Amino acid sequence: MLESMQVALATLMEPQVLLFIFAGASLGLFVGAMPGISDLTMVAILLPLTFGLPPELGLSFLMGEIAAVGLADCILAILVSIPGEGPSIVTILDGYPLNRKGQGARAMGAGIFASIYGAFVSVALVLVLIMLIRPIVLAFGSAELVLMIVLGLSFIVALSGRSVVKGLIAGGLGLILSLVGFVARSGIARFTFGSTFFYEGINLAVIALGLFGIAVMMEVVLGGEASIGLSGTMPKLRDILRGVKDVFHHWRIFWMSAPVATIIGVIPGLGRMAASWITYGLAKQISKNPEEFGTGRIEGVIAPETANNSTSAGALLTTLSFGVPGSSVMALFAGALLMVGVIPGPALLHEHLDLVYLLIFGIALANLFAGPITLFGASQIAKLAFVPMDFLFPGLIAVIFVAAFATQQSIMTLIPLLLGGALGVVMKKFDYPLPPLILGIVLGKLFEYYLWNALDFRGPLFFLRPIPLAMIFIIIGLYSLGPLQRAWQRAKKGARI
Amino acid sequence: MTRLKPSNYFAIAIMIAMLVIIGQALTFRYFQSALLPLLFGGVVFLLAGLQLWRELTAKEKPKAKKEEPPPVVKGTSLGVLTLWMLGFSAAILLFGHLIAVPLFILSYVRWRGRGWGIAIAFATAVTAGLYGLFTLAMRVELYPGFIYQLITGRI
Repeated sequence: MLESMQVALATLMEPQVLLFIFAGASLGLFVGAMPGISDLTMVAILLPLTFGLPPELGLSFLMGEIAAVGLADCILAILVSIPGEGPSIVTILDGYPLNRKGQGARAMGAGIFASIYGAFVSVALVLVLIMLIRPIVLAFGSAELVLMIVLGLSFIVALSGRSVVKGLIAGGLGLILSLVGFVARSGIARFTFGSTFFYEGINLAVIALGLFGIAVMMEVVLGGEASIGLSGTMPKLRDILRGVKDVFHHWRIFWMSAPVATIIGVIPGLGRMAASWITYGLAKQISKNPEEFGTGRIEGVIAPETANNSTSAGALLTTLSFGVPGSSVMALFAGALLMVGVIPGPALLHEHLDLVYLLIFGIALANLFAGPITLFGASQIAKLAFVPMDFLFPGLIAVIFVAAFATQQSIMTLIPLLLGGALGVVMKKFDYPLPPLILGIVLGKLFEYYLWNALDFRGPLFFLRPIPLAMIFIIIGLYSLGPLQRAWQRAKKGARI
Repeated sequence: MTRLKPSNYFAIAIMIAMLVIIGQALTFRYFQSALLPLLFGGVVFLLAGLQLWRELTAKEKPKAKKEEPPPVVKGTSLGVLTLWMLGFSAAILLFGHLIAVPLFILSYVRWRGRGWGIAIAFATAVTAGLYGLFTLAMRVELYPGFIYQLITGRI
């Protein structure tokens, strides 16, 4: 284990790796600051770039981007009440009122500093968790992994948004798309329309570019994002540093939020948004002035900002060790792993532990790079968000089309790209969530692979083993808990009447 | 008779697609190849059916007070943007990336009412950036286009 850690640290110190993490982190800052462009969109755009690179470079690049997104997203949330990223909606609750009171720079300082240290604490925690989780993960064979993937699929419900049925349909469509391609086991080309282009299956990067690139960019343009304008004064460094001091002053909130959010990150399907809300709620509960939350309390900024940057390391751990993505972004990251020939799962902890450490250290390093830039350049970063859509839209669309082509170096990529875009537009129009579709594509491939392995080695009753049985109970428990709780509350209400 | 809404047509389209998938899977010679398409196709078919039934039986909500429409950028609609995407794809197919990209950016930026100077500068910068990143750094040969291939006798 120590040897792997040393190898990872040595790789991390290579100039090329440092450069790619820095480049990824810089892009992460850009995405975090821009309203309308999610890290999901940017990871989708970056996926093809990682394809031709050695795994340690390509994956470090992506990890740098993912790790730094949470840093800059509070800037616009606080200044103009526009969430750069989803979870910064929670930061708006107290950050924007603080800005209205003339303390926007202080709130930004606190938010950015809490984000940086949240990332460091979560990395330290995950390093400890790896040691604890490793023996459990290594006991996992194909049978256990099939059930683990089913458990992962059950988290589609959590990613479904308002309608579970629509989420399940989206996940199902993803599973169907994962079946396209040549099946080496039986020698049959499935749903390839007679074209050899589809023999390798639907490329996740291309379909993701369509779904999260084209569809989302079109939605942003149609939503009229071009009309956003900056109000208020530019933050001063002295006031930003005052916010940094606030984090130390409210150390209890900070130390509570980071571990809670890391654990939430480990649980697939919950993600940064849930972590931000839960820690905000906890901060409110332990506050001496809970009634003042929402009117401009600095603790209301520290808690969600610590949380939103602490989940990445936890989500990465689940993705790497079990092959089950901890979030939508991690689903794309799992796709990137598969594209560069790294199969996420227990074998990864056994055979490429150095890569696992490299990625975890990469999170800390990306924050080390991007943290001071964000802190000292906050006032300049704020200007980034006001690049007019008249330029951003055609520029990004051009990048998306070229990136899709580069993935497979075939003009045929236009077909899945445009189909992905059209599907994304229609699904968004009718309120079908997109993340379950990506989760379905990633897990569908792994599910089929491990299912047939389990059937070959253990037969049709492969699930009659302690760990799979325990997981079946967990899945049943997860699905029945909600209805049981509702039935219990109804019964209680009825008894009162 | 209930009048179908666009979202109903989407659910119906999914059901039809799943029937096609199930039908195709039944023609596969090996059970191993057909099992998952049948399983997933069947489940999604049922779910889409359930969604359709829910939409058709849902009670119409009373119309909420008319909200302020979002500040839509003048001249853009889903149809217009779709045409831009299709036009860009056709330009790539015909002229290749290195001509289609600046052409698309230049026309779009001009269409949005920006000046010639900024439009040309931006189109050149993006094209140069993409060429540098993909062709020079990553050694990806961008698509030369159907016309170029026809002229040079590659087709």
